[in-house]
Amino acid sequence: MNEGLLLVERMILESIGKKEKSIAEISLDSGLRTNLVCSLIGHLVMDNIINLKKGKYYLNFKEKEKWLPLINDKVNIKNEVKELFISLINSHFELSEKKKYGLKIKKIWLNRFDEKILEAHFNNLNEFIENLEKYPNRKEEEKLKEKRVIFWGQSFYGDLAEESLKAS
Amino acid sequence: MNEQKEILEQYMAVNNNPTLRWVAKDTSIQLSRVFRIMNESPMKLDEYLVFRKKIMEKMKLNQYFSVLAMECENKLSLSSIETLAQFMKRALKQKRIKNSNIKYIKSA
Repeated sequence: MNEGLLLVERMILESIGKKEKSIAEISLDSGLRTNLVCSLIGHLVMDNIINLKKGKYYLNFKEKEKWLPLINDKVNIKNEVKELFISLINSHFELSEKKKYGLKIKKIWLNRFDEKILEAHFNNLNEFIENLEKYPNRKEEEKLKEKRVIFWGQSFYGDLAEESLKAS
Repeated sequence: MNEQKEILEQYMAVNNNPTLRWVAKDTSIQLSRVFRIMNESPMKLDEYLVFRKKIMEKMKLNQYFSVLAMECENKLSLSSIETLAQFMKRALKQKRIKNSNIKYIKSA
């Protein structure tokens, strides 16, 4: 638990966060193999994050103060995001050309005008994605595994280079 | 039997889950015997030692990792070491979860 959540553990919590579920239902929702779900559930039950009632697993909100701050700890979240990035990068480079999910990285110079345009595009994208999150019926009907993970953002090349040096 | 299971798992892991035919060739144990061993037929001592020797040989090839880890420990900053340690801990946790016994769940 001290290491924070793994990506697959987070998926389980998100799945039963929508609605309490059995192992088979979690497996169907998340796309994870049943035996892996069993194993993950076991660890989460032992950590008191989830409980079992009448064959269905649900989040242990009664004791959330014991686990919620820990899983949302900045360092742990950073590690989870890294895991997402690594998975995206690995799948981008390992899958065949046909299946590539589109990881786009460009290094470009921007003048003030370009910067304004890019900012407007980012704002539009933000707004579009925030609007998509507002459909509650989607949350109920659609499978968790079918959610898309989208990354966006930009930074100065020099700042990233400097940051990379801090890693040593 | 646990020791047998552990050594076989380790052998399969260091060799990237090879085929039974590959295992038979590598260990010079007959294919049908390898099949039985993999299906939990108890190993003889000499068979156990062969698997252990093969793992040790492979580990020597991978020794660079230990050397590298030591060099990182001596030369990198504390925060970099912590980053690497977190990465390794998470990888281990993933492995533990993949391998963990599901009997606990069935009785929960």
